[in-house]
Amino acid sequence: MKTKGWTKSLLSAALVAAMAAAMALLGKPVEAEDKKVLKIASGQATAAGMDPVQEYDGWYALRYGIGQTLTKMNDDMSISGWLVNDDWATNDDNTEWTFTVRDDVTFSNGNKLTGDLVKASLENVFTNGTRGPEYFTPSEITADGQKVTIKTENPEPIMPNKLADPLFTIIDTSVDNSEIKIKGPIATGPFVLDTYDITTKQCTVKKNENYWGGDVALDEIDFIYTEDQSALTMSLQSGEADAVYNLSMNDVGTFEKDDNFVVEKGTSGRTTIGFMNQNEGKALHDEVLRKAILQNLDKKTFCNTLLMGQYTAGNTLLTSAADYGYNELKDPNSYNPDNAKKLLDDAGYKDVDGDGFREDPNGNAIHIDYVYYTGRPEQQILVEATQTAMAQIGIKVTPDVQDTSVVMDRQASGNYDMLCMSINMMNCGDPENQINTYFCKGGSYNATGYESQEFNDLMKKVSETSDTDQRKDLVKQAEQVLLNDAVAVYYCYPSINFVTKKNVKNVYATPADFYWVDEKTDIS
Amino acid sequence: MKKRSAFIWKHKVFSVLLLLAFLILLIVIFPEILTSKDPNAAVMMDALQAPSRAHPFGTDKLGRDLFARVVYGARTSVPTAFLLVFLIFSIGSFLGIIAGYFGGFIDALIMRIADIMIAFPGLVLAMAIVGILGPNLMNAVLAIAAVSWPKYARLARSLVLKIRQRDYVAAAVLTGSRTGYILRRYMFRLSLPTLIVTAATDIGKMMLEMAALSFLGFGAQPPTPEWGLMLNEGRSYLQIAPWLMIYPGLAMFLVVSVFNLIGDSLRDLLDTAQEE
Repeated sequence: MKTKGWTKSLLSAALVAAMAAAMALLGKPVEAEDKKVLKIASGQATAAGMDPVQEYDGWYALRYGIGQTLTKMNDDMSISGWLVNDDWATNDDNTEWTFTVRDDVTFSNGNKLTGDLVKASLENVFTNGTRGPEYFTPSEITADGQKVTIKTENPEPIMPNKLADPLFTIIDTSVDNSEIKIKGPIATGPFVLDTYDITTKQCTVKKNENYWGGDVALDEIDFIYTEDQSALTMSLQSGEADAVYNLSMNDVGTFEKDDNFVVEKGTSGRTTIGFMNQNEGKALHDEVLRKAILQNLDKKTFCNTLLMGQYTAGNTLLTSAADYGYNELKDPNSYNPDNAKKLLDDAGYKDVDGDGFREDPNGNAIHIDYVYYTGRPEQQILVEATQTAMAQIGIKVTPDVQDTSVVMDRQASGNYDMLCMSINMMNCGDPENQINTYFCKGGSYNATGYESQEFNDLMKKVSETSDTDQRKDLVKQAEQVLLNDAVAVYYCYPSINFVTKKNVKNVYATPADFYWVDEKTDIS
Repeated sequence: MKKRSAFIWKHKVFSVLLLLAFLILLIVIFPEILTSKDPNAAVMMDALQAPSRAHPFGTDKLGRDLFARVVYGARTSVPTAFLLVFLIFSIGSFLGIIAGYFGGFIDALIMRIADIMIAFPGLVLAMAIVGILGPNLMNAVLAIAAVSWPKYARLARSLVLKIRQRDYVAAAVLTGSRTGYILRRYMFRLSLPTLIVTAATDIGKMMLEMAALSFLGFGAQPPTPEWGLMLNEGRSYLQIAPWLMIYPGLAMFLVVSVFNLIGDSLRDLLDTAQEE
């Protein structure tokens, strides 16, 4: 009898606990309804974590609204102050720059942003990251109150542009940053990292309660990642996502016609480039083969038909949206399929074994491995169109689809014959850094084997010239050298879009491509 | 002749299906009968055209004629399915008969390997194998073969275990028949009908598995016309060019149905024959 009573009380206790749990669970959705949550889906995500100084991860600190930089690129590609005032100054030879850090900025942990913390954050880029020297090499950084002075070894005429790059995201280095890859940085943006899963690349950010720039409208943003373009489209239609970054050109038209959605389009500084590995021992080491490939690509048809007219056909390395010679420079290898065949015939590329594909002049089979990713909608169709076009002149190209991070690794290591990548060449409002990174000797993503003294000299001159017109002129000359040397395929210039539900406000498609959200971003 | 027409009359459904299968094979061997177009010829200006007189199934994303690609797709899908079934049938049956007849260590060894293969979900293991070997059609065939043979091995083994107990096998052993002869004459011959029925029903299944691998990017590679791959290619155009998925899907549905129904009819036929 006694035991029975004991069981009874245990059972009722369990029941009460279960009811309490159920109440708690029931209570949750009510709380969720109060919260303003925005869901953004995208085919892009950080490759290695959330440390801004690693690879391109700083882009995500900015895109997710966590980080901010000292300067900011405007929609007309000009630069203005963000965490610093607009009163920066430089000496005559551009080797010493002085900035005044805004007095009202705090990190998300409440720490005030001082000159010393800016100095520490900038130094962190050079001590813990690898890409810093592609931008500039500081000989000394000093801080005095809110004043920060950067002295450099070489003249740096566009220092304010360079500091707008996400690599220079300002983070609080006075805290323990040993787990920054997973936990994210302590920075000054309107949001702070809540959860980040390095496997699924899903990320959630929460309102920064200490945001210095005023009230943050949203409580939370969930960033959903998939490289599957149709899944992205359907996530918006099903309501799983409220906004999708860079929706496929196939489906943008459908949403433009639908009143329930808003399509925000912006020009970008992007160029979709087909890199060619011209190292010795690679098939594309031969300039004749590279020229034949370039002359056999009908980029206008690719853009007008296959990409639904949503992209501008490429001509120069730098986009038609910026004033860098798109209409002036002459491509000696413009579309001319008959000449492409003739070039190959004359150079001795013949189909010896009768498989329909040419062998090189020594009789070795040519097999071009074309690496690409599907995180951007134009890539697959461009690569397959290239494969088809090349088959017509007897060159065997094999598409090789990989995850974006794998493609980036292979770009850095040179493990490819051709590689398709969309690069924001104008991400600082100026192309100097990206050209250094991708085409100059020593660039961290330049494993193409391309080396031209003339080109390197021109780019060195660019880095030392402060006059805007002169810089443009030099860059154009450098672009012409690239065109003459048949270095890479410039397929097209993508425009960037953000497709959102009607009730979403202030999600941005900007030329910089890394300012997606801010404190005004909202959903009603 | 009379006997043949009597057979056809008696097994009407089976005969019609056989005729359909014959037609499919004819298309596989001579696709030119249905289309004069090259499945790989791309006219990019004509990309994504809706079905019309010039292109009965429309054109795909690179302006290739979809009808030609669907027809030539049979040339990829059907022979690979036959090759696969032949492979798993031969390997599986051979190993199963050996295991069942000899028993002991050989049996344990073969069957444990089979168990290991069965322990994984088939398609996932196949994907892993292709992932290691590199994605192409031949590797996809090998991968699916590697995960599908145990079914035949287990079946053959169980049949052999039953057959072995029969008196005539004991008599054959007693009269000094050689092992090879017993394996061929009794074990293989007598388990053959059941194995054939299984193989016939597997043709459709193998076709679907190959298409699944190609759909996921592990099988046929562009620009090969293959139904699974075409379905995947059509996926991102689903909302603006649904014909890219409808026609390859329909082709696959029809061909797989024909071979599945043949398998079923064949089972009925052989079961009745055995009962008689």
